[in-house]
Amino acid sequence: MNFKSLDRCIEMTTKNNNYPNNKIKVWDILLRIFHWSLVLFVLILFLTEDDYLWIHSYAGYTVLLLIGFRLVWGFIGTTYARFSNFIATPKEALTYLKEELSGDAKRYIGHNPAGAVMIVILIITLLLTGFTGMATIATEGKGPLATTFIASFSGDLLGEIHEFFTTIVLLLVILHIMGVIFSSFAEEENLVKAMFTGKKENRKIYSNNKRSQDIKK
Amino acid sequence: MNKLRWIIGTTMLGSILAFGLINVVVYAEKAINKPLQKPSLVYNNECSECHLAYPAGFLPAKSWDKILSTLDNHFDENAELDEDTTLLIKTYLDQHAMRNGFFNRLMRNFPTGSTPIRITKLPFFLRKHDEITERWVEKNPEIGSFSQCDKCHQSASRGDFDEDNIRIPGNNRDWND
Repeated sequence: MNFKSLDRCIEMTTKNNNYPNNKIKVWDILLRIFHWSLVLFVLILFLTEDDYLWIHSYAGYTVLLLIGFRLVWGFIGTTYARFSNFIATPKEALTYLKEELSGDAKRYIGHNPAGAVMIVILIITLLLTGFTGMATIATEGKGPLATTFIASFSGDLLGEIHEFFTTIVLLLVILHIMGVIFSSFAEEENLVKAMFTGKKENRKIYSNNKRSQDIKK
Repeated sequence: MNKLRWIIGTTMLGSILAFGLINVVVYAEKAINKPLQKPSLVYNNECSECHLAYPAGFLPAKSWDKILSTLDNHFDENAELDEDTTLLIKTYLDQHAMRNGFFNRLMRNFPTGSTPIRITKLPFFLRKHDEITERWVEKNPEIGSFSQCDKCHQSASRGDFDEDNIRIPGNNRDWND
């Protein structure tokens, strides 16, 4: 018997028998509300892209503001909401993904490295999308950038750039959902439910990655 | 410090969500309750002999003005009206014309300087009808020209050009994209 499967046995026993109701708080209430609000407003954005452009603009401003909140909360928020807890390099993300595929990824209480990278890319892309959107309407004399130099650019070009970024957002969202589902299976934990309740299972697993702050055996 | 972050966080998130939800609801309500087309008896009477009275919002005011000032040569027909009637129609059309480029996608990709007078040549129109063949329209004895919107768009007179209400004469099937 190799040590990997022995560890798994111990983990399964511990999880199911000894601590059936033991949960730890991971995602605070503001973070969860932020996350699902973002989902809602991004959905509204995609639904109102052609008609209903007033709704589209205001939903866009809201998304930018929500990201503003997340940036602040990333510095003053609860443990697992802070960027210092989870920010990872692309290399760490790739390592994590490879481990996931081979079945021995470490379980992170907060965001895993792949999720961390996704968050950063998604934030940047959403900001770019929002700003190119504001730039586009500025060329028509509308919105907060209408009185700046941006208003003199080509509206059609900016519109195309804006649309390009929205495609990227769509791809990222699809990847994100796939990643969450995949990680849920790999870690044997319902991560979507965790983003609603904020709680994850309290597992006695040893992980030597200080960022994961897993509970040591 | 611990309590402070919750005050800051809740205030920020709360106000952002209030801003977002209120605005979305307000503008959604406006969009839903927008009247399809405010009718004008005069416009409808005088301008629907050969084709339907096109929704005023399909062209900008300057286009309507141009058409109304050249009624003696209205697409190779003399459609002249007396001064008073013309003024009545012009007022109505100007009031309900397409407002400006951005919030009306019909004008997208149209060169900004020019004054279009053919709805059927607007880039938006062409794009929407790019799958309609000549056989269905121009060569179709029941239609003849794209200017006859209401031949296919069954609720065109109400200003409703929704895809669900299209039936192309000569075709038994409803239009399905």
